[in-house]
Amino acid sequence: MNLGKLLEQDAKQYPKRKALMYEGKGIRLEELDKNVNRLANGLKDLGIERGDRVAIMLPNSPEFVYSFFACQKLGAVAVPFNIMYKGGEILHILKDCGAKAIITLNSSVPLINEIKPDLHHLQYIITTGERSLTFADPESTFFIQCVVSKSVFKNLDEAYRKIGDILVQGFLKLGLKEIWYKHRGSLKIGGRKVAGFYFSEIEELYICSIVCFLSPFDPSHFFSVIWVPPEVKDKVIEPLTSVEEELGRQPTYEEYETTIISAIENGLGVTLSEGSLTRDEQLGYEKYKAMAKRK
Amino acid sequence: MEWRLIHNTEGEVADLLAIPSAVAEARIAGRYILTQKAIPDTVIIQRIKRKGVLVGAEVLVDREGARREGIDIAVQPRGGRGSPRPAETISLQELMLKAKDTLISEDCSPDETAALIYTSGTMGTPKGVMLTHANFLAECEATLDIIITTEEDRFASVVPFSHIYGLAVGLVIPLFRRCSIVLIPQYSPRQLLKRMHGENISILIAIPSQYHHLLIAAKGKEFKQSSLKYCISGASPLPVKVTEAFKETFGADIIEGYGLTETTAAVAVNPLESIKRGSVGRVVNGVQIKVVDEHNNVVSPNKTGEILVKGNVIMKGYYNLPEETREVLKHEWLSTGDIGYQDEDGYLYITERKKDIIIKGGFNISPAEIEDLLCSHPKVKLAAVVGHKEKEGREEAIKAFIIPEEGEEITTAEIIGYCKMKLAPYKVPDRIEFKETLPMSATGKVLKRELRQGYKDMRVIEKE
Repeated sequence: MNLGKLLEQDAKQYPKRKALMYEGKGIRLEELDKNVNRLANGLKDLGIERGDRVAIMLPNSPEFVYSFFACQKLGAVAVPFNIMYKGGEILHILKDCGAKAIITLNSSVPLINEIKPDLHHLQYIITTGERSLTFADPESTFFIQCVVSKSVFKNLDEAYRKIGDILVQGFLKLGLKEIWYKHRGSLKIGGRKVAGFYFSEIEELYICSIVCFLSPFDPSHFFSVIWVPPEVKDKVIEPLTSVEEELGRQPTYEEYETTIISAIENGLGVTLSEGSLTRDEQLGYEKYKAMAKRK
Repeated sequence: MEWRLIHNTEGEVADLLAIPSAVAEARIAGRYILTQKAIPDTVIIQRIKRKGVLVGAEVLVDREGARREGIDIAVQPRGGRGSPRPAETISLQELMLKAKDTLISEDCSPDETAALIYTSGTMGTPKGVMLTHANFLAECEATLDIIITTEEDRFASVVPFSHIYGLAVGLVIPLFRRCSIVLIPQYSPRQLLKRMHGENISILIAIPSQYHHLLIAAKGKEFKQSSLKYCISGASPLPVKVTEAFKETFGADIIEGYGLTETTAAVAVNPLESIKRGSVGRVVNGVQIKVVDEHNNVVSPNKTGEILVKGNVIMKGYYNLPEETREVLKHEWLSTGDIGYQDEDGYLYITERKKDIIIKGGFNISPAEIEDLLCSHPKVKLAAVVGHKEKEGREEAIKAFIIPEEGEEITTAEIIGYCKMKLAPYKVPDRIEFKETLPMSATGKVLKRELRQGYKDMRVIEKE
């Protein structure tokens, strides 16, 4: 007997048993089994075979259960690990087990992107969940977003490289001599992150979201909004630094702005002209804002 | 090439979502309206004037806490098909949507690896523990008459399924016993209190620190509810005072278990009908335990030694590490690296991790003994003791890290004086460091490796 067959057998024998309860809804054994089959077939279509390792970096959600048992049905090896893991910890596991695919949260993708160039076995990043978390603090965070045609870049690799280079140039100009960028999406000083970015895609567009840390970031206020066990508070956020900590002074907001604008203009060979939202955009903006604030 | 620059210097957190979404949406829609002027490539610079969090729709937020702290909340709505998603990734939902719901599962033999779970113990780089289908099935069997369930039971695990305790005890066991599993993807003690009540949870799986949090959230009020039959604790030692306070507040017992990733979770559990507090209980079915001295001879009851385990729950080995596997697995017996003893009734007590023992001047010193003493001081909340190399590694010293009780002030001299009264001189700590927190794992173990010298933060990615 194996775990996959046992689930199959139980689902046949007790199809109506409520196996999982999630967000007030029950998921019966037969439905669970069907979802497991769907995911297993999906993974199979990607080329996941018996003996392949599939990493699972998910919270206790139905998707975790589907992923774990989809592996069992395919004879693949499930490699679950904690969603709180960061950079080097994830790198060690994925490298050591040679996972062909990882199933994770959308919000963990930047962490995986950053180490992906060192993971030659990893072919697929499969994502789910609406668990992103962005802290915005007037003192310490600065956000830049770009909505551009995909054709601005040759491919996603080039997009990551170019935006990385632009930010490095910007930070160098501010005087941060130790800044480095190697992997997708994370600018560091020493081993600590000072800025990060990621690309989303929708149809023919890329949306690039950049956050820079200007002064030391104190997450303690946010922990009264997002509950985190006190013992692991220092593990929730990856190791960070900031411009102020590294430079010993805080540049003015105008300095940041002119520096970043000229870095973008030089790096991409474009001219940025001040503009405002069109009427349609303004309507869309009101709609999205109302949605975001809805309880 | 001219791009548009949009400035938003007086923004709020919702703008981080609303502006780029509106630009992208208008641009995509604009392609189908020929009369409209195309929207150019756009850079948006945003400065937020108040603190805020932008969270995905599934993140649990405390709106009251947010109001109190003056923090804005913006929620990213659930993305359907066609909404932006991380570039070059595959959507799990779409993958499932396109696939058939029938499948003949592979004919794996029970000895094939089902899961690879990484564990670092308290030192070293994490090793992948190979657990087979047979291991998981053996764990289900082994706990049958000790974790007692009926098909009416509702399990809830606040321990992550990525941890062997959560995976085996919180998922595989209840699923194959046809109980219902209440999924808790993100845990907060207050939410959990609500759900325990609202969803009639009958068996709760958690770790000691979570029981502690629940007690704080309940604030001494009674929360007795008829549905809760008992709770299970594992992964790190459960203080007896937590068990007692929990019983008083919630009216339910917490049974403690003991196991390792290498043993597919529990190998000993305190039986509900005859709990011995402070013990991790009796050996489960189909598993053997022996306590041995340094010459591998079995010691008599109540004598401490290393705990060895044998049975079908023992891992196949460490992934790609035959040497390390041979080191811990000899003649089917797994060396746990834990020090403890069994009483005359066969109840197991864990006293120490073998690797934590400090050897100083030829003496074997138990950090746990010193920690227990330090914690008995009324002004000490928590203590951790490690060995500390001095004089270029020629001498081993004892270093104690101490978190004082809230609002208490305590001096090194006070601590040393207290230890001198109650400990042999060679056990008195040489160095004391006061701290506000101690590094802990997600399952509530003090991470001593992070307190030792030369610790390297595994999370950090270096340039080279």
